[in-house]
Amino acid sequence: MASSRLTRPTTNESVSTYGGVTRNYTALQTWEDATDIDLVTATQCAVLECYDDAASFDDCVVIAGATVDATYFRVIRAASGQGHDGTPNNGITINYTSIATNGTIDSDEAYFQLQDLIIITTGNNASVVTSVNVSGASSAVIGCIYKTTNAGAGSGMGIIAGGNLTVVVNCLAYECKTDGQRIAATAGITNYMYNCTSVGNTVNGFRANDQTGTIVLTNCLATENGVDFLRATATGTLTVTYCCSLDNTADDWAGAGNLIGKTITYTNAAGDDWHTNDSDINGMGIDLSADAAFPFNDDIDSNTRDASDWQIGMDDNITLSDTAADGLSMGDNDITRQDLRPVASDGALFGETNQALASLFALIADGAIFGDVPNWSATIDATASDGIKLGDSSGRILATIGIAADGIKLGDSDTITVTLIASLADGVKFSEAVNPLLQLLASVADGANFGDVTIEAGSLAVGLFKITFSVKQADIAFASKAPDIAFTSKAADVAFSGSGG
Amino acid sequence: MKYQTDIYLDDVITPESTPYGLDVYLNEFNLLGSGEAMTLSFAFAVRDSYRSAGSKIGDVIAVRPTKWIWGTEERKRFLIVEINIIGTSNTNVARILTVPSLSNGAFRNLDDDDMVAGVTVISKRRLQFTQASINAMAASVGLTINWAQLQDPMITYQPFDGKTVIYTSYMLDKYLAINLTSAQIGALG
Repeated sequence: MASSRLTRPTTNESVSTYGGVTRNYTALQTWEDATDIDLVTATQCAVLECYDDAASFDDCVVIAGATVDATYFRVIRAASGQGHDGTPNNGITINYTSIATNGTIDSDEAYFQLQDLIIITTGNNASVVTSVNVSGASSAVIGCIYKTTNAGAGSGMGIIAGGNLTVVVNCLAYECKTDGQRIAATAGITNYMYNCTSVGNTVNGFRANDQTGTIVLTNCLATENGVDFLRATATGTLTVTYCCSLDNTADDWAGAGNLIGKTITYTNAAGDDWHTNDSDINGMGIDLSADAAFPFNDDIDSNTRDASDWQIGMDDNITLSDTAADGLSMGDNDITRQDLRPVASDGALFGETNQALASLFALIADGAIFGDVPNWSATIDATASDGIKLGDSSGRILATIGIAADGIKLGDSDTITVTLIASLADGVKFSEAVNPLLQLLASVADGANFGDVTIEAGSLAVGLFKITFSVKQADIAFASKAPDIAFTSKAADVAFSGSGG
Repeated sequence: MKYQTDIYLDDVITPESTPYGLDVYLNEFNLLGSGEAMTLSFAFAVRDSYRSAGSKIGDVIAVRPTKWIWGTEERKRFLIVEINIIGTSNTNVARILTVPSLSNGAFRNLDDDDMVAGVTVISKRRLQFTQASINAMAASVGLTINWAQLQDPMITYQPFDGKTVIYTSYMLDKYLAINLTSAQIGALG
């Protein structure tokens, strides 16, 4: 399994930045020209990372001409933290207002990748207008959002995907003038759309077009389009499986798992938020994490999909409600199950995710008993192996006390022993705990005198000497076998004897 | 910061769907942009591409509104010149000026139908300010260009900074092999 963004890992990335005046490039076309080189000989992937420095960028680009292969190619993607939130309302946006044709982002180049951008096209044209047009072989469009209007007589499509072995994954087309997502395949080639969503496009949600080859649509969601799924030419092979439509078109090609007539409730359709956790499609998709053509396991938000509960469409919404069955009261914290999963099952260290740490604290604050959660043992392991001292967190001390209060013996768990040692190192006194054994150890560790502890008759071995003593109230006698030891006492009723020679 | 979205006017229709030679193109749009002027910021290629169909010195790589602040690498890798083109007010030329030279002579970008029909890209850009034209532009504002510095991608050398060039038929249409007047450029919009 892999993130769709990493399914084709880039090698030797040569990263440039795009955005405002502080970036390397302010025009997509200049970057394109600067990287129109023999990337294979240069052993470089040319990557343009886009920054959300402005509300939008009025720009376009034609990608073509560089020498590429499956290892060295060109990528345009949102820089880390600059991408959208699964809606067109936030994140790096290309909004081309001119007379774009053939694609605001138009690539004829093989292996080109476009990731996590919002592309809006609002031109005025008598011809074909698209936001994204990819026709190079093995191209990938991942996690993008597009909307195309056209005030002219021409069409307005979100994407046209052609080429061969081209994949469009986790993308959203909404409110386009004509088609949301059009995919074409001429004879002998195959192209894919996986887990995409088309909503509110005037003519078609998904349109298989110019088809004499093979087109595969899997886990795609279309609602409120003129026609949700349309096949323009009945030649070649069209495979539609595990797709869903509001109208009755998703199952027109007899594929498995298709749903029709489904009214999907979106998070905020009026606000262009097309996320959904609608029960009609949640868990109704097919797991593509081991797909032969393009294995992936994330959604438009880069969240990891639930392989056992794969959702149709761009979004895979896993919510806290999924953890309610564990009896945890976490309703005061907006944490998803994915936040907990790394802690529980992946063995991830807390330091790897602030969310996970927050989740743990939330559990403690809710008063949950560790024993209630089988993964707490793993949690403590993580604590120990992370080298985090208990004293770093009152929550962790509470956790230790929680273990003791549950009556677990120290010998039951090496982990707990390690935890206790960590406590000592932090100077935490065990006397704070209720276990008598801990109290005794605490007395020693804290430098307390033995005299503070009641001692009954016995003997102590100190070096070469063996001192025996007896206690009979005031009648105390000491004896030594060493010849050079003398005992004195100011007490009249104490006698000493020596037997050394 | 708001990027200028108003420079590309959207009040005309371009003949994108039919292969047009420039002469036909100009005849259809000769009413546009007459008598007005517009200054644009051009980014020109400063070296020839490694491939024959790639960009050439002086190719128009990108066009932006006047006073555009280009990025750090753009100022190292391209020649930036502000050019006032009398007779041109329609800023759709910003898109038109960067079209490729296609084998069928169409004045637009390659599209999918072209590819099916076997149309090829002869040259990455159809329009070019040749090295001689660039030198002539420099002379018109009292400059002499150091081409060695201009072609060094490690330094920023922009001799036209602070200058505006008045356009006089500097731009070559490679396909038609003619230099375009400002009126002809205006008609492209």
